[in-house]
Amino acid sequence: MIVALALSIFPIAVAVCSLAVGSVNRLRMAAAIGGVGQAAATLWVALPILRGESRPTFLIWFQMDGMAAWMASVNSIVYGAAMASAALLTANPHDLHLTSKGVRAMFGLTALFIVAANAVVCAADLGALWVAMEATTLVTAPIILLRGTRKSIEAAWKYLILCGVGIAFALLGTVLLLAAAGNGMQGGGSLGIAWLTAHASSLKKSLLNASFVFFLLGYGTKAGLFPVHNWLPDAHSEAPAPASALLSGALLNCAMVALWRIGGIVELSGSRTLLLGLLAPMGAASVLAASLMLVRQQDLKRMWAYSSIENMGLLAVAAGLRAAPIFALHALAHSLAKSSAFLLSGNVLRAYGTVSLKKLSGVMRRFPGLGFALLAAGAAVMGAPPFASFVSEWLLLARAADDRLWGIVIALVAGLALSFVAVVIHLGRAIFGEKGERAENPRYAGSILPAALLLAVSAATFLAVTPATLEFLGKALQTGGRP
Amino acid sequence: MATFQELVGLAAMASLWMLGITRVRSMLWGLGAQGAALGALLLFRGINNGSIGETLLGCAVIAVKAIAIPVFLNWSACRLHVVRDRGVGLGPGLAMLAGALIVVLCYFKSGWFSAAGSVSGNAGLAIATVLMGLIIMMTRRLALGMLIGFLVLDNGIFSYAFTQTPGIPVVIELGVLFDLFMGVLLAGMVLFRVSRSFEHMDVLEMRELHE
Repeated sequence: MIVALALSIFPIAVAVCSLAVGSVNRLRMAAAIGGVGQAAATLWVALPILRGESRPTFLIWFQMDGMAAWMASVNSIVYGAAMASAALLTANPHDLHLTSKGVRAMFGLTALFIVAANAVVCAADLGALWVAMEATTLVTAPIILLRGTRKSIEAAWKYLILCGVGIAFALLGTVLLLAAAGNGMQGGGSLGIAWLTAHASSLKKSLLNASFVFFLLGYGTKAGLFPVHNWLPDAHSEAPAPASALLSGALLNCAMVALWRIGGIVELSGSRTLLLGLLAPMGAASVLAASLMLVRQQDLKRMWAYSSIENMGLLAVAAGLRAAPIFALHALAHSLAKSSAFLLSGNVLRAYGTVSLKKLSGVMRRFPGLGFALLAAGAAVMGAPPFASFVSEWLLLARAADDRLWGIVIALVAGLALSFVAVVIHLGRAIFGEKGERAENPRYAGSILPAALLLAVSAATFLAVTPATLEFLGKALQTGGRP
Repeated sequence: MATFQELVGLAAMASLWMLGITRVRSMLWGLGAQGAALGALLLFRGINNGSIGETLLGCAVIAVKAIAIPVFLNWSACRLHVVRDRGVGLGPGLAMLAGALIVVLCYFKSGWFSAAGSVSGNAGLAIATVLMGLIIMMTRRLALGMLIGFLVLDNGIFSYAFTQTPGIPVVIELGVLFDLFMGVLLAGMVLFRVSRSFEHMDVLEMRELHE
């Protein structure tokens, strides 16, 4: 009960404020405080679980195990930073191309979103997981719509219909799994993850395999895996920057956690080949395809969006190899880096009025702070030291090579190298270019503290990773006994 | 014990019929009939077995799938002045033929999908409904037609869940239904925005976003 309260009291307060508080300025303050409070409250309940000191069930279908504690912390940290940044960027809502009603809606909906996202990672029942996942779609679609331009309307429609079909496939996967569980069992089966894990070997094989394929298509759509990624770049580039940070840093992880948990059941049922033959190759294909598409991006936010597809591919490979510490570490690393990258793109958009890579040039010359932060974010996203994604990507490559999956290793190396070059060239022109574009609203270029803090956490994580901490992480993720 | 699973066949027939028509209002009648068949399945079975949860869920399914959603979509179609969906790719005749083939194939290969204890053929019919929903989504041009196809697909999944599984906990099933309803309302909202700013609802002509 305390866990449920800790995970939801701040966002619900923010959501109520978004309806009740009269002035937008007070709402901004409330959201910033609520965001930081949410991060603190989540860490307060999650850390004891990661240390193995407690293991609370907070509602019948929700339980905070090690993986849930880790992912909920990641979600809430991203939320805190996004809200702090949103409060800074909405100093004058008109600059954001939003009405004050739009700003209200953004704060209210993101608050509801973080509650749903934390429900997804904590779900101990695949039915409840599905309901929470669909709830994340429902609350994020209106955010994409907020700017009200034709592009944003088309992006929202695409998001709603593609993720709708995806999530329907996931529902089909869920019922197929239930049919696999109910087959010949006394009293029927259950969708409880703990139950499915315990009875994994007696599930009907053909139905289980079919259900995994539908889960992969369904939650894979939501995670933006290639080839069902089409909605992602549009949605991420059309949403306001703080919301893009949340979509990329929290929403995608939720779908990956779902795949991780289902993968655990599949592994225990003895169908490991499905993971190595479908999930991991789909991840490797995502890395490769996304890096190819990265090359010809002309828009800062779309570039980050394609890089998200690439990183989800890396997570899918980690999930396919069932490497829990690498999976968790890379989820954290990607969320920190990508959220800060999207938040900084918000600063760029506010300051220059555009995120087109053709028009941006000489950011460093005009605003050294913003330019340096963008450079650092780019490095963090691409997995350069000293940022956490360097370690996680390195560990993943090493693990794949240990397992002698040479095809996947080659695809990952090629994809990572290509995207590194592409991002360096695109970002380099924008940051170091000769002619400095005139900024419309220079004051927004300075409010980069939330994004910078995320990058600092990423650098600290890089320093903290040692064999001992990895072992601790591996043990922590196993608390709760659920995959 | 009567299981009333024959109603699934009725739902499959409704989607086969929907494949062959272009009038949006007729499609909505088909959608409503399909929802009613699924709700009735649960309702009758619940009353027969004396299960309060299942009876309640049957009423909820009828209320949402047979009444609320079709009525809301019909209201939207009237406001948006949508009468017919001319379709794209397969014409209605060919689409119906493809649907009939799918039904026959899935019916005879039902064993692939079925769980123990279900009436034979039903699993195949449910999967056929899912596939026909996909065909409707792919062969309609208007955003509203795509939405209807999506709902048919979803009905197929519900048919499978109601006949092949021991039952998802009622609270979760209600959550699923609630999510679905909110999703349709939201999609309706987006549709109004689409028609206001694009001045049409043709999905093929929505090309503002570059690749």
